[in-house]
Amino acid sequence: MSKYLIFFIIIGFTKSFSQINKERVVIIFDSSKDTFIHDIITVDNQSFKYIAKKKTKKKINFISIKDDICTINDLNIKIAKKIKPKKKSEFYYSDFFDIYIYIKDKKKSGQLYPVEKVWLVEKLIKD
Amino acid sequence: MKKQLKRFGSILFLSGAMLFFGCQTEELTVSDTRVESGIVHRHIDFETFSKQFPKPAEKLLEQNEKTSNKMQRGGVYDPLNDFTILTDYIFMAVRDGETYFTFGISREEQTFAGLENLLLVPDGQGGFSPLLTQYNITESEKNQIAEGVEIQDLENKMAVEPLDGVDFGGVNIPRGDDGCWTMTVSYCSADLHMGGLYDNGEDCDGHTEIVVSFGCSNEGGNGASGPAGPGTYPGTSTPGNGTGGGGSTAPGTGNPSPGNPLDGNQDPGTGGPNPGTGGGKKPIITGPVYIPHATNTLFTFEFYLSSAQRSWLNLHSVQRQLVYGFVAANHYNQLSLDFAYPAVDALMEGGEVDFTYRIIKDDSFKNNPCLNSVYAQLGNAGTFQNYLKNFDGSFSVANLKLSASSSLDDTTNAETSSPENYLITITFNTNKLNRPALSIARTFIHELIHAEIYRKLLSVAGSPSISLTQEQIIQLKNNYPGLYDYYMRFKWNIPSGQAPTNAQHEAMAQHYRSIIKQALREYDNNSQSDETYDALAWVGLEDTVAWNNLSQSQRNNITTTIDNFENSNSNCN
Repeated sequence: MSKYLIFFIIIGFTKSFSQINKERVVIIFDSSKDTFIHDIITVDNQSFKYIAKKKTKKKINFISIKDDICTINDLNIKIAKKIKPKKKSEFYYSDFFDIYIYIKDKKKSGQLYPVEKVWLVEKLIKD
Repeated sequence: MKKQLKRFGSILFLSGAMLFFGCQTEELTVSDTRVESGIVHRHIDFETFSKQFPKPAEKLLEQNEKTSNKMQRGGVYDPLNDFTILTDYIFMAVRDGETYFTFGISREEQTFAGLENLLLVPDGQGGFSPLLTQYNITESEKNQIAEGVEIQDLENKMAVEPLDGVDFGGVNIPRGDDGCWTMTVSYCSADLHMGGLYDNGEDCDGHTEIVVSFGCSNEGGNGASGPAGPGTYPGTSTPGNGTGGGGSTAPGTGNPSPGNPLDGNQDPGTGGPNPGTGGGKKPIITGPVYIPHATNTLFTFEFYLSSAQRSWLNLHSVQRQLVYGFVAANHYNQLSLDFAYPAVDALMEGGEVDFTYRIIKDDSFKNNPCLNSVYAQLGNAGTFQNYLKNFDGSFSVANLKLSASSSLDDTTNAETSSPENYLITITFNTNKLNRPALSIARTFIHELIHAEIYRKLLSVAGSPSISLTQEQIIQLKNNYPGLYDYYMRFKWNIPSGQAPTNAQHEAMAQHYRSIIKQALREYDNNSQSDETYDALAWVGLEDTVAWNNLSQSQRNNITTTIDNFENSNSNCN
């Protein structure tokens, strides 16, 4: 019995550490060029889905996230430093990062959305 | 070891409890009385709302523009508050020329088990200020609301808070002179009005009203009834028995420390007498709006039918039986409801619905003789039928709609849209039907293959529309390695500097042309040469790698064969 318990604790800790090891990054939403359509946020041609089921968004002050701010380009550079990617960098985002998108609603505060990279297909095919 | 586990369990429990209580930070003071007042109580739909109150309706539509390309069925998503404002069934209350609106809201992630509403309060200057109202009630009590059955002690189950989010132009929520907001909670009574149910636009003849006060800026001095006892939500002590609402400026004499009613950790109040409603400012009016969400019941299905759909079905018993039989046979699951609503719309407009294959033929399609005859003849083609069967309700994850339009681009024969609410739409260009029927049949098969690819992608996405997470991309690789390969090579993982091409066309050019040829042969009983079928199968795939890999003379031959075929056969239209 205790063997099983130890096994599950080890699994639990491994899982926790794998989460902890992911770097928290915050991408700033620019309302002049980025879009938020239903639950899909598109920033710099990369699409992300708001993952409400796993976490919830929260209201925060800008100052609390300023050290975590990244651009899509920064993410790609970080990936390139970590591994030699066989695929495009965005295929590794979820391996290394916990991504959030910050949408400003007041001068110094905004909403922080936990997101996950998603891939979209053609909305309409004309023949 | 057991001791350690016990300790660990206690820590977990305490952490959970801290988290739970830490979240409850609202403000509310509540008092209770029952009054009679001249309130017009009505439910309206969004169309009526937007006609009578264009300004707040415009705000919702503006919000909808920001968050979605088209109105989601029944609601507008508010990303700031992360909820959808449900717009099909709006509670409107009018008294003395002031109009109040209450909307149901739904959240993808339910953090509050009770009922939440969005209340729009007129600010007296033409704008509306939003409030969030919460009722801490059970599922069966929610059904009671829908059925017009009074809920005991509702006043003690309420919480209210001002809300940021969609800007309805309101500058404030006027308080009474006593510093409080006072609210009349009104709901249609089953005893007084036809079981509490009534259609959009109909007034409720009899309703129950409860008056509560909240958000007092000079809390403690306004005579509001006592605050929450420990653990209550929001909790009041014994309600007063005054009449309230009469514009009394004299505060009650209740215990002057109301505490935070949602906190549940404050000392209980002593239950002061009922407050006056203060200063002549009449109470804000709301009523609990319960809109069932994905509960897979007949009630849910009927609830989301529009008034026009409901009336039409009542007059058309055969179609009603078909529609009701279909959703019941599918246990009112979301996929079947998402088919049933546009199906009813199509039927109302003179279209046709195949409930077995889940295919809607709207009136524009049905009334086009060329498209209809080609479609009917394709019914005899086994290959085409096999593809259609994939939309059969027993194992499909998508529904199909066939439509026709004269407003597509001149260069477009037809277009296929990715699924929205599980529905894939194929639209044919009626200006491009001056071709032989076999050519139209070719377009049908080509578009049906697109629909089939979308259907496969949707089955991996597992949601009403297609967006694939990294996990789902891996699932796509396992379930449909060919599709994965084409989407990776031509859309998702193309080298920088290379323009994406249409992954579906690339796949079709390499792997589906033989299927197109086969279906065309079946369509016209093999009356053309193999060269013709082969050439027709290339139509629409000229922007692909496979096409470009053909030699120039091969490409020229195909083009010539198609031209000869089209010139030597009569047109469909």
